[in-house]
Amino acid sequence: MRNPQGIIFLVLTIVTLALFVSALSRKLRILKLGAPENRFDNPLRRLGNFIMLIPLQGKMLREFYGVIHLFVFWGFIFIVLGEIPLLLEGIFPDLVVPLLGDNPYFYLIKDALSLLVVVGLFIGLIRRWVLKPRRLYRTSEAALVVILVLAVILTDWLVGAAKLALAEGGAVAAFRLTVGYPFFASVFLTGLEPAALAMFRDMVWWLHVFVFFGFFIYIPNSKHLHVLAAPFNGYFASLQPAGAQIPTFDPLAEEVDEYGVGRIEAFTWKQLLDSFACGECGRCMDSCPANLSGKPLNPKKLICRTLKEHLLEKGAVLLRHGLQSTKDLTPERLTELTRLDPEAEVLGRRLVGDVVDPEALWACATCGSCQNLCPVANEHVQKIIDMRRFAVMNEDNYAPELRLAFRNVESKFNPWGVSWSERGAWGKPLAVPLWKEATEPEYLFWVGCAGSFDNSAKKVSEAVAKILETAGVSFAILGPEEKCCGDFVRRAGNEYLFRLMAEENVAMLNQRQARRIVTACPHCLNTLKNEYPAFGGNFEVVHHTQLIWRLVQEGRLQIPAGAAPASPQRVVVHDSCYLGRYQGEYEAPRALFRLIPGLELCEMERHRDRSFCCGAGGARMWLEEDADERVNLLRARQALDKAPQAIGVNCPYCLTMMEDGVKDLAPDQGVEVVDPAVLIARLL
Amino acid sequence: MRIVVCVKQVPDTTEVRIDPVKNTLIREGVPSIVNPFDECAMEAALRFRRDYGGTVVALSMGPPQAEAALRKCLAMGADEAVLISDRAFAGADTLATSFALARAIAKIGADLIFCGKMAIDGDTAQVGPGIAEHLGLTQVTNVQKIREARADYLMVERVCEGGYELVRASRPVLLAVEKTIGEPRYPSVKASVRARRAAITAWNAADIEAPEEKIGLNGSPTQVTRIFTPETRRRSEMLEAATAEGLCDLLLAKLRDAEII
Ligand code: SF4
Ligand code: SF4
Repeated sequence: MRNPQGIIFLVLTIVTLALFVSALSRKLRILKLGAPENRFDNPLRRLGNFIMLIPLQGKMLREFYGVIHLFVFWGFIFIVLGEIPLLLEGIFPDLVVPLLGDNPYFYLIKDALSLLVVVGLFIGLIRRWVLKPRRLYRTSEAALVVILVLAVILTDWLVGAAKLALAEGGAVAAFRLTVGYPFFASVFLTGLEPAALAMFRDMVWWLHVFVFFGFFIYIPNSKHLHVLAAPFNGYFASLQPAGAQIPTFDPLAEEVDEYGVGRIEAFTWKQLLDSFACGECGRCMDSCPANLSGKPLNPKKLICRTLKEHLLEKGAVLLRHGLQSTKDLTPERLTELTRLDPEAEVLGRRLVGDVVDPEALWACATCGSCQNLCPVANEHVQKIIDMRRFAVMNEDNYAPELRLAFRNVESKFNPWGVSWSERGAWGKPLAVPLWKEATEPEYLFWVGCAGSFDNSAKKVSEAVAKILETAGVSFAILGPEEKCCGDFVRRAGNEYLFRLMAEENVAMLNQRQARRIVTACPHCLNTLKNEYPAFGGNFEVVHHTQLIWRLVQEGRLQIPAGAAPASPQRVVVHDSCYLGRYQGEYEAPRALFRLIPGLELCEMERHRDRSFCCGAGGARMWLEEDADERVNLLRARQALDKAPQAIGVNCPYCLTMMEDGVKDLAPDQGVEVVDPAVLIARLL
Repeated sequence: MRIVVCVKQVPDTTEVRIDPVKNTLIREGVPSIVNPFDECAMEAALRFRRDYGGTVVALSMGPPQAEAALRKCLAMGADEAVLISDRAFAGADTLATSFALARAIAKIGADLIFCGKMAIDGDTAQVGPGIAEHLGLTQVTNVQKIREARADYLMVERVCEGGYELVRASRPVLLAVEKTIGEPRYPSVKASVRARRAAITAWNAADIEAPEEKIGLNGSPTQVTRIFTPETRRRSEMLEAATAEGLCDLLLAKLRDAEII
């Protein structure tokens, strides 16, 4: 022990640890204000997710700057490991920590990573403060951490350099493969007396200790809590498929006395953890159709500013007054609390309305792009749905046009409000059989509301019917027995109505003993396949493009030789969110387009799982949209930039949105919006 | 003050399909709804309650399944719901039906009664007026608006050809309303849930002291012997021609052929 400094160091260490632990436990107690949620099952799969996301930085590496983060991540780990021998010197000056303190390879890696971290931090600085991409916030926190890390690395280099210059035996052996220590020794420390070197070594060591301890305490108290929370978030990431992550609840159950999330502590602890885990990288906002079209929704800001700041503020007050939630807080008690503690005012703030802008909530198309890109596996969409649930189910406060759509679904079983009895009418001219009159057809063709009532989508239904018939696949439709699947109803936060629809449809499908279902609507596909199992409906559901492609591969469907080339020659493909990101199906629609003789396919910059939403999902189809900032125009422009003769789609919503977009942007160019089935049916 | 709204559960169908063999309406696979006119009556009652106070009781006669219609009314905002249901009511025509409903209303004790102007399945528009007659009340049919309510009378607008009449109706009164009286509200989820859990009062014939000879088939001087969809004799044909003259010639030829001109 470097007496008496050893004592001082020991005290300092204890104080630092205490401050670190108390800051961390505060955050944990705040998390524990959240609702329970079981994310402890399946440890092996969770570990797999963790390894992919955290040590391997799987999502980070999907873009160039992710490489820098990889260096910083691993550099950070090695730097912290390097602290172990360095700090222990403060108490046991002669201790050699096995595997670390005497390991030249360890120092080699640490040295190289330190250099990469320095380079990475400078690139980061230039990016953030010179290039200024909109997705990065230029905050003092972001600057401070760079300075702290640089200071940690630099002081470490200098201490090591002094040790080398003093020719301390252990150092000479352990640092023999490094570049940093000899470099600093030769540049700064040549010709110094050993006494001066020793003093320099001790002074810089102390400086290092202060900087590192400061950094250590700073982490759990700042946005850089990210480094501690993100690994847990990786481990606790949802194990459900993207399309099956909306939890249900029974609105009729007695114990549910508040619907949805109307107060921050009504989120589950995992949902709250998302805010701590956020690294503020901004990938989510950079791909958000709502945000890019100028709506007040910014998924990044929602997670790492709006919700997090409110959580910390409200959480602190709740803990201070020994409260778990404000649910049972009477107005009188609140007034009393606020009189004693002015900060208790935060307890009276409404999450939906005062904290989160309802406009932002309703702007989300549930396109899933944010979640798909988030490197720490944050789940943005469910939070939005939870708050919508509160607005719709608890407060009955939502847009009149949505109310009309709900009413239509409830009474006419489709959002347009066309008579339910007309549902099968599109199939009459084609003599499409009704399921209840058919004998054990191979497939049930689930037409969906759009496919039944929307003029453009009906053409797709007709094409699918024609193709199945040509391929000799027996199929039938439910006709008036089919009801809205409830996709948009659920995403609009009306779990009550969704359950009604789900239960009725599942009962009907089970009664009719449907097992294999094909649908032309990716939203129906997702709901039937991923959401109905929770209601006792277990079906094998495929998208029509998947089935048709399979029929082609199996030789059951043949495109007649010498068929006339389809009119559009150059088709730009648009991936729908619900077939793409939610189902992971990108190939089938493309494969079908390629079957058309002479057809040339082209891609937009944002394609496959980076595809940009048409703007209609998540109930957006049924909500008004400001004319000058429409998502469908953004996407249609991206498509038209490729100078196509047609835009290829695979979803009835996309069909409508792209058609509208083309009508607005290029009314005279004759650009078609087509489903591949329609082009194929033309050839038969 | 108690306000009673009479509602009927009807099959939701614009085209009435009739079983050619059994001579009855086909109800299979047809969802049941609250008669749309009655839904408007319900809305009118709720607005009346908002403006003048009172409690709203929804009343229906029908099989036990008709409870669903009453739950809809509860969700919309009715304070109570009463279902009168008894095998003895079966086969009732409008006279027997209005009698039974009148008995129930007498038991509830109301001074304002709302009905839809008619039911979309029977189209008779007789039950509302029938109730008023049985109870000896003032009645106004085809009401499109309540202008104001006073302790002893109501000022209401009654639709008539080319306009409306302003009627001063002394209370107690029965109003049979038009759809224009107000778009029925869409209930909130909480209200729907509460309605699903709510208790519905069920009365049988004995409860409303309805003598056997006045209800059901016994109390019905009329009986439906046959329901059928009339054959439409109208036929239409679209004429197409490239020019207007061509079209005229075609039309003239057709009319001459048919010996119309
Ligand atoms: S789901 Fe799509 S629209 Fe909603 S916040 Fe995420 S990126 Fe934005
Ligand atoms: S939520 Fe995820 S994607 Fe968005 S800024 Fe945070 S870490 Fe990045």
